[in-house]
Amino acid sequence: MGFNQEARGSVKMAYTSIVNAIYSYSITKPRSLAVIDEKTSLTYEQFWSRIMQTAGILRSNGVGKGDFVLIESTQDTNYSVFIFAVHLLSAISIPLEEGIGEANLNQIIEETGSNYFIGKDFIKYDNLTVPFKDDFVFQTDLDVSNFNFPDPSDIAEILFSTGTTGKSKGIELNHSALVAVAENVIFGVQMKKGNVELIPSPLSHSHGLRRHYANLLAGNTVVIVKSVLNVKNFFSLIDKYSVTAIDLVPTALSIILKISKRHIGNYKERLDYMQFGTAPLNEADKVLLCELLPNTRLYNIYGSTEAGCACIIDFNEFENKINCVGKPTINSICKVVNDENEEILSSESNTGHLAFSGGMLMNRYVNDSELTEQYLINDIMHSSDIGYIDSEGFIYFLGRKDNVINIGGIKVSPEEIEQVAINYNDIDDCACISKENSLGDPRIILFVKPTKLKNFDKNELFDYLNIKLDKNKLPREIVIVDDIPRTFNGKLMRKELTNIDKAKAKQ
Amino acid sequence: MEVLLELLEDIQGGIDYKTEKHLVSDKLLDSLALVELVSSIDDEFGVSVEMDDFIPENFESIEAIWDLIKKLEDQ
Repeated sequence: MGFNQEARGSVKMAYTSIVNAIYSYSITKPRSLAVIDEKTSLTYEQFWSRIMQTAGILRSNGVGKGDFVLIESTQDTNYSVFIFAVHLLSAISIPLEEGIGEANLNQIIEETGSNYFIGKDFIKYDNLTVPFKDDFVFQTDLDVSNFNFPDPSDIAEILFSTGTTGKSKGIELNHSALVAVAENVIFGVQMKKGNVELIPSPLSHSHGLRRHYANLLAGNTVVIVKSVLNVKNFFSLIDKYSVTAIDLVPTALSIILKISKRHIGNYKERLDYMQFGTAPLNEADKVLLCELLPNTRLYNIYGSTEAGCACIIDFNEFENKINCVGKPTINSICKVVNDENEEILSSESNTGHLAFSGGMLMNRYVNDSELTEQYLINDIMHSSDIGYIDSEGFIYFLGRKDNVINIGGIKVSPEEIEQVAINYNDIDDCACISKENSLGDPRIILFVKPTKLKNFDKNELFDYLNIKLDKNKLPREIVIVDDIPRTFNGKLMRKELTNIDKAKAKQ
Repeated sequence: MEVLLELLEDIQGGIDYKTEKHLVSDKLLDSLALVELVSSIDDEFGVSVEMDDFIPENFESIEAIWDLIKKLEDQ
């Protein structure tokens, strides 16, 4: 397919695992800052020392190669230390959200057969309970020698996600995949030496976790922030640590722009890049950000937990490419395939499913060989995402296959309608679903969250859409809601909309 | 205060705002709800919550939010 071919296949980073890289930097640049949170900052030397000591404690409590270790995210340096201590033991980390519910936790334990749980204030599972506080890693004289780095093919982590298939499952990744994803980020964003990246995104999810891995693989600095709610603190940390890059989810950007107004523009000379995930940014936020940071690279990175950080686009440079997710990253190869999984020469009028190969792919879905075989075929990860590749090699994502609405034989992507509707001035958010009428024919329903409920006129929105959309793509109904249901990182929870619609119908 | 109570209930119902003292730390109001509240306060009371005042402590209870509005009105 021919994108970035000159870079692909070359040796990128010299490390077989992220923990191996951290060790190396503890020797070559011991006094450089590695990880920082709101209370603690650790140089590579200090970081490595804590990882070793923590690994020693875990090992003395029986954790060894291949053990599954659940780690509740505390979104701080301690959490990062635990992840790499587990990796150093060639055990398998399973990141969990802070305050994870019991039912969810039990399901994960059942699926993985996990032996250990590192919680916020203790380590516990089966017969093992070890209380710990902030000084946990200092109070040991355990043997911290004789660690062997994990093999690249060893399983490194399992991430639980709804991801590509819409069903919650464990996604298994080995160390070489973690390195490959991190390389995709490093080369994709053109990360410089000495980069200091502020990461407020949850480190229990692939998005934040992988940006954190990327900076550590490159020997750079990660500033971990619990939330952007304290916007003043967010900017104080940028000042204090001379932050050069920021990783955000769309909602966090909205908060920062709404509360700080144009303040982020004060950093236009300092910020090398900002990166966001796949979820679309609010159009007004996007426009404002491009205006405030004209020389900063602003990236959307497209990918999934199964095929991480597979495509990248700088929307400050390619602002007019609607639905474009850019070009493949360094370890990623993209193909477009038909329903029979055969590669096609795609175009805007001949779309197919996006499929990816490369070192960043998952091994398998845990305990689900059927699902694995359905999506991972001959080392190619087949997604439900519909798209095409243009003559310049740019990849376009038009929507999810499961979401496509068939209107009289014409396939309509709800994302396409949402892209148009969101540009209407008086709405903050919107989403589309289809609903069958009494004859069983699908009708497009558009849910909107108005900027101001008072004086919002549905008919004016209909008029706007009538001008902008093809007739067969026009919504038949507009439903006003308080909120469009989305996950923390902005992904639309489309099934929830169906429930909202049913509830409204009963009223 | 009644107007503020109505605003809060519009943004996030199902909370006893008269007794709740940890709206933010107990995650009863998330960050987006707070942003929405700031917009509503601007519309209804004509005061603008700036970055310095957008801190969790100012939004933990209806009294704290009310005190913030009064402070901004006096400025």
